[in-house]
Amino acid sequence: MDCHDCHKSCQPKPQNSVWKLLGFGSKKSAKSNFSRHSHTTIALVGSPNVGKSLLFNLLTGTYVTVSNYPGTTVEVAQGNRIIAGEKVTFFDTPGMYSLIPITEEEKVARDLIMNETLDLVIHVVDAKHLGRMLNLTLQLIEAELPVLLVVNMMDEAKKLGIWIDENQLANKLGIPVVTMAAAQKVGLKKLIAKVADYVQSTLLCVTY
Amino acid sequence: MSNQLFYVSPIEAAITRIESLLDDTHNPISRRSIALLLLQKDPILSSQLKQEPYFPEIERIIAHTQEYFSESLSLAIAQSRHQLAMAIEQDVIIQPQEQRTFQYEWLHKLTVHPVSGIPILVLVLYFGVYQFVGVFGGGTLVDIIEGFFESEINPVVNSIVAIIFPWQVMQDLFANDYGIFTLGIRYAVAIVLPVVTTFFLMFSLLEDSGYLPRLSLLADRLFKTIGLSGRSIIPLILGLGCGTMATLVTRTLESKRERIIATLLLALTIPCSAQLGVILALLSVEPTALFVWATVMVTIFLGIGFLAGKILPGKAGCFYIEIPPLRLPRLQAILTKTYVRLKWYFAEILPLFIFASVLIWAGKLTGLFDVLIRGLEPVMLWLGLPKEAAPTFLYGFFRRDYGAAGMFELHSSGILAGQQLVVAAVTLTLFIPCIAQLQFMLKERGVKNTIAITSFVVLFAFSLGYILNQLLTIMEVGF
Amino acid sequence: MFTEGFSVHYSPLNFLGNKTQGVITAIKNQDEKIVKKLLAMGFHVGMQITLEQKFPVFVIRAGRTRIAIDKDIASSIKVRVSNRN
Repeated sequence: MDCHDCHKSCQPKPQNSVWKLLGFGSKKSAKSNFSRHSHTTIALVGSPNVGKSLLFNLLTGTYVTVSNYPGTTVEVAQGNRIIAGEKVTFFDTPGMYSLIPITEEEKVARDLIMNETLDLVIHVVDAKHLGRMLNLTLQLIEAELPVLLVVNMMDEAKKLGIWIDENQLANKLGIPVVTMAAAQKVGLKKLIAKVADYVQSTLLCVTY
Repeated sequence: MSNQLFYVSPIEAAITRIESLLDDTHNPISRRSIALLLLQKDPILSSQLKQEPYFPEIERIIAHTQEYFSESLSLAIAQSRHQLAMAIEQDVIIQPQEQRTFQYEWLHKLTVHPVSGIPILVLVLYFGVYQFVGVFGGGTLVDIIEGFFESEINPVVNSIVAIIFPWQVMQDLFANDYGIFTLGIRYAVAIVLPVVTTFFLMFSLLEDSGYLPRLSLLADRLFKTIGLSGRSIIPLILGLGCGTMATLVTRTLESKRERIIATLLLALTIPCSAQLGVILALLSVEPTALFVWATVMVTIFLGIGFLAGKILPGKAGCFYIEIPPLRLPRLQAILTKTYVRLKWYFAEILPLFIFASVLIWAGKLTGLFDVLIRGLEPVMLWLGLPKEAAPTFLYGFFRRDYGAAGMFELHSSGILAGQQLVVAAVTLTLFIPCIAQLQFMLKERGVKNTIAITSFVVLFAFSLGYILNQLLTIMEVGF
Repeated sequence: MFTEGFSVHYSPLNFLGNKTQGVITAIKNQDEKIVKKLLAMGFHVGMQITLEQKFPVFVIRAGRTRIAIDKDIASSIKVRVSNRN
């Protein structure tokens, strides 16, 4: 990924340089210049209200605001976790419904996955609305991004009498699938194990 | 791949042709995906590729493909994708025949039906925002903590600083009336902390229960008249907590026009929680004063919104929102959220408080503030206010609540009373947003819009203060 | 009347009564953005929906999803009515 490709979207908006001199507020914008990573980088994407931020908290131990109202996560948050002995950076993104953004917050998420070379994109979906949310999964697969699907909120789906066949879904889509109930931390170990496979396999790629 | 998603043949043909045109830049996403985005007229990608020599050819392919369809290409593409998604869902989902209904269905109906929903909305705002944040947070808690600072902490700080620094100038930087500890930290802890904490607690509760989308649903009709959609109620309510945070959240609104109107209303009419708390505490002793203040603010909010909606080009944004089921929020989650928001808020504002103290100190030292305050004094007199109110307005710029808190002190020392209090409260609420909000306005809306909004706000605040003072005098409203 | 139950069967959503059930037959709007949004949120031709409320905004339910939309957006969804109350 060359930086000249992304400077349009990655740069912070015009900001009075006086504020920067005073050291106010430019911290967040600096975060967006995260091109070219030496270690594994993973983005969490998905529509609003599917538990992305909660999962991000569980994965990184960094608390960002968990919200079930569209628009309360507006910045990309990042946090780290050591998986399989390697440092892995996770990005939490504002909600997006499809690859074509409508609002500015959706653009933030799309810019991240379109402009960064990510090692893995974790698409988080709500088990209760699987069919509707697979739309974005299919778009991500189409884009040939490395995708892992997390089917979250299995607990709530269960209350409605819905069960999802994890293996069957993985076969159908041709990507790894993990079913979870992030609020109860169910499935977290399984997810980390899957991500760990991933971290190792990127290392293997380097050594080959 | 067996699960490869195939589209109807005219679209597949177009994809192949566009793919062959695209050069092999190492884009993170596949050429097939880029071709599909172009067919769906993705604005970002289109503007990125506009300069390329092959772009006119792509446009021809898109136009040609469109001829096969009566509906838009986006719809045709989405339809195929949707069918596959649904087919996959059918294959992997095991579901009993009977569809169970949502939990709390009756409550949902009550909250969204206008007849019962609007009274519920009013009750939520009255108890949640007015009673809990304004009266309890801004009144009771502020009194307790503020009293503790005045009697226990400030004297100690003053005497310690006096021992360390023999020079008056240095003492004033850290202590006394405008010092970093005695003013900056005290305001942050005694006035802002209780109000913002109660506000964030309330906001997180509403958010987690799933009530917020229902709130915006009910507000949509009203908001359409002021050029906004129901969605904008969230940044505006958030503005009752912190205008800075709310300005950032206006990003979630769909059109530029909506974002500008919301930013303007936030800068002009919406008092932040610290300000609101102090103003409510000050005015609630005098019901007429509170009533006048509230009426003026609501009128200006609707009037300016209406005018802005008329003047700015474009039409009111469309409204759509997913309504999640209502659920009982978990206490743990609410506390965590409140804690995280408070942490964010304080990381953001504490430096500004300290910076403001230093700036006030430097301003006083160099005499610059005296010049500015002397410049503001005639304006104060013009508004019918005592000239001692001038510093309040100047400091109000550093933090809105500095201004409101300054007003509080003027009132307790008996300088500001009755009609003056109402005029000062209205003018201060309207007056320019604090330094932090201004900074976020610059970041989100750009220099040009920020200058336009700010100059309008300043002119409007003082003119309206003047008119209000005259009106109250003529109508002989007594407080 | 032999036209009864026929003439109103393909109707924009905003002309339907409360509690109407139907199937979406088309999604059309001058503004491409609105169409994209509806698609992204999971509205599709052939989808079974129930109109739950019309004021202050339209509330529609499709399966386990409930969405509120304004009149403008509602008018871009054409529905074949399957039962009318």
